[in-house]
Amino acid sequence: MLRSNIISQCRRLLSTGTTKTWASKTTAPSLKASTHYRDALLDGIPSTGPPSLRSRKYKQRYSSPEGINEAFDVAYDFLKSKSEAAYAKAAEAKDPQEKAQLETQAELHNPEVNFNFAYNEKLENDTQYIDYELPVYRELKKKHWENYGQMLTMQRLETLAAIPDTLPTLEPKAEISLKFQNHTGVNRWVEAGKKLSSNATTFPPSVKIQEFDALDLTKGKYTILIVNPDVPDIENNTYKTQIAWGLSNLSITYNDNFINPAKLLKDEGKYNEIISYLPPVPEKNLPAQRFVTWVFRQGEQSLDIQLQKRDFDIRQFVEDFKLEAIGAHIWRSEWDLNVREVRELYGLPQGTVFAKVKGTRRLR
Amino acid sequence: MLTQTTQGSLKQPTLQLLRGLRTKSKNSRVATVSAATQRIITGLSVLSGRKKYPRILKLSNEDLIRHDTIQAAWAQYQRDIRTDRQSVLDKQYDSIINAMEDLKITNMELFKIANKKEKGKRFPLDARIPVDFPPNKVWHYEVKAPAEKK
Amino acid sequence: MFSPKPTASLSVAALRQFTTSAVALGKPGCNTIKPVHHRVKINKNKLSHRFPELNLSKNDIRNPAFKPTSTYQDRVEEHYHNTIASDLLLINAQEGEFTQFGKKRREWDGSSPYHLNRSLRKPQGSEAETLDIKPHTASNIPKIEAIHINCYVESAKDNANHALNSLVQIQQITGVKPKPIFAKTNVIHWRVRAGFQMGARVTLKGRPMNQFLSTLTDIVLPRIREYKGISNKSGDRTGNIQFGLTPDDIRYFPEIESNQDLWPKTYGMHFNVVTSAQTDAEARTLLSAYGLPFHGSEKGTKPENIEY
Repeated sequence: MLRSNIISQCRRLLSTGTTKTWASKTTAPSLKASTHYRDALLDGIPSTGPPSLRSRKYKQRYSSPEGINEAFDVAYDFLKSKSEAAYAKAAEAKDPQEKAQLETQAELHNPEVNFNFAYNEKLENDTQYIDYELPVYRELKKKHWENYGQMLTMQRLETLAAIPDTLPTLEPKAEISLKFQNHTGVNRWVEAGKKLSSNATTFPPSVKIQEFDALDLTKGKYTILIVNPDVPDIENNTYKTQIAWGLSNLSITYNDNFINPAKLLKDEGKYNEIISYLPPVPEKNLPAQRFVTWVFRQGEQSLDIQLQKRDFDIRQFVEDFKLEAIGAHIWRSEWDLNVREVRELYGLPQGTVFAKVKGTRRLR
Repeated sequence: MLTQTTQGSLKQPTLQLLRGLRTKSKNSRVATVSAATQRIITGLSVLSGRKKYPRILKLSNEDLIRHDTIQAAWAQYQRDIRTDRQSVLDKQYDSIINAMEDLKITNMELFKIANKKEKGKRFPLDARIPVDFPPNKVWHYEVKAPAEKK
Repeated sequence: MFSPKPTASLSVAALRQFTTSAVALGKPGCNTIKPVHHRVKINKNKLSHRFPELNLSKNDIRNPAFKPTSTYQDRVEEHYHNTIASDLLLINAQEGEFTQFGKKRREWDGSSPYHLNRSLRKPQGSEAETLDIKPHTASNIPKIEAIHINCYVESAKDNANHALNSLVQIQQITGVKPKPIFAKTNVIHWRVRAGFQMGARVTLKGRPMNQFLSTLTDIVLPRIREYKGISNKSGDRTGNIQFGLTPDDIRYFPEIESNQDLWPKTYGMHFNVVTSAQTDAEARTLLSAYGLPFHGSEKGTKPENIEY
């Protein structure tokens, strides 16, 4: 014990870099922690303090819990042997699902993988740190999403009655994130259910579709529909659903899955625009309108339809083209001072000003 | 409460915070409790939940991941022990049943005796749980009941 | 192009039942619970941004409720797995066992119109239902699951300090925080009023339970003079064994004994040992393996067949 202590201390002092390597079968860079942290992560905190702390004062003040280095060395070797066994099994596995599961199992307790996942941006898809092509990162992200994002989105879809007003239900399979990258300079991921200014939503949103299941993504195609179920239908004294934007035949990979203007420009001709983008231009004195983004797996079929009219029955559309809903997102829009400019930009007629209704209860 | 002290430097008096200092009230408005009540108060303070939780460790990012790795290894090790233990018991059960079936074919009389429900079975009292420091005298064997009152 | 078809959506809604409602079961009435249209379980605490560290799992070191557990060797647990479990398997296992169904509540024969909607008849020859006894295999070897300690202090009706003292006493001998017990109703003869704090109780599980068991069998019980053991008649027919200790017996707990002057008065208590055994006889066999002595005649066993 003492001897190994001295040896590890010496190694730490000499700082020739760690000799520990996980049983990984691929050389993906995301399976290694960055060199700045790697030695401290695998061989213990050096005498200069943990590299993750910025301040020199805190670095000097920090001390690791007693015995953590010896315990970690034993734990690392133990988990590594388990990982080797899992990789050996994975090499023989025929079923891709089973293989992905075994590979996940093999890397799930790799401290470098866990470090990369815990302390890096999870939505940016920087393959240097988090590579969603590797099943382990998909599994970690899925757990992370289920712990917060999935619950939040489903709660908002339910409380804002996006289900069943647009589609009857949703069994979420993929994480859908949405962001408006435009002139407003606000470059944030939209929290589901947020009210956005019509200025921010002038140009189409960028949608990120993060798949978690082990699929053959080279074959499957995706459809995005953005619908507004709150368009006033004055003749029938009710509301009707209109489509605000529609894209189909989109192809994604686990990492390249952010449908933004750059990707659309790159894939020009490969995808199909069902209908061009109509920005939210809500009328004055109406309650906030919901804009529900639905994402579907369309399978290997090609969906080359183009619509002329905005009036839309999403349930019929989904049934006709056998679309499988995998995720949704929602934002809301209310009349504000920017609506006039947006109308002018898109050459839309002037909106109606409705009579003010007292109270906040929604009229149905 | 702030007070000035001249300790350290005569010219430059420093401020010292005295808020935490316990002072005894002069007019003894604080009620004194009896020894019995004080004992209960002391006893109840033992129950305080705060005393049962150690202070939260503040770990750096690296050490947190290292700690989680150790935890994962420990959990996996315990899981392995559990599965091994259960597989041994399963094998034992299978051999018990196999042996009984063999006995059934060989000798029905013996089988009936062997397969009887063992009700009232007791482990011997001398068989103790192993401990680090067993008592010098385990049981008072020589105790006799006192003479009954007449 | 896409004509609205309300029937299509209705059929989808009718296929999926997200909430069980009386209407769905073909009964009259309406459901007052707002239906949910998805199957994702939502934990509102996790959506809140307050106290994020409390949303971490209990065994996460950052959670304020984290408590280290495996801090010492648990020899009682080890003894169970090394010795007791396989012995109990051998004692209990039988060839050709089938599930023995317990006595269950019976249907009425329907000879009277008043039988409609009447609650079921009592089981034959018993007031309460009895449990099924399943074959004894390697996966249901009896094990001690918990020990409930209940300490009702009669003198607490006159002096509330006794109830507090009993609380501290249980804490001292078990090391687990007990809960106070309160009188539920007025009992005029006992001069007890509802709401009086009358003692303490605690449920021991896992390591504290094993620690307590070994203290009990190694230190306390051997030193009680004339201690005969737990009665063989004790038990609730479902594999749980009850016994008690007098105030004088409690003095043998080392925590109490070393502070004699702090404990001018001690309180007796009842113990309920909850086991996963299916019958009391099996539970007694299990407890005897921990060094708990038994005495007296056992129901259904000839005296000469009881081994001591």
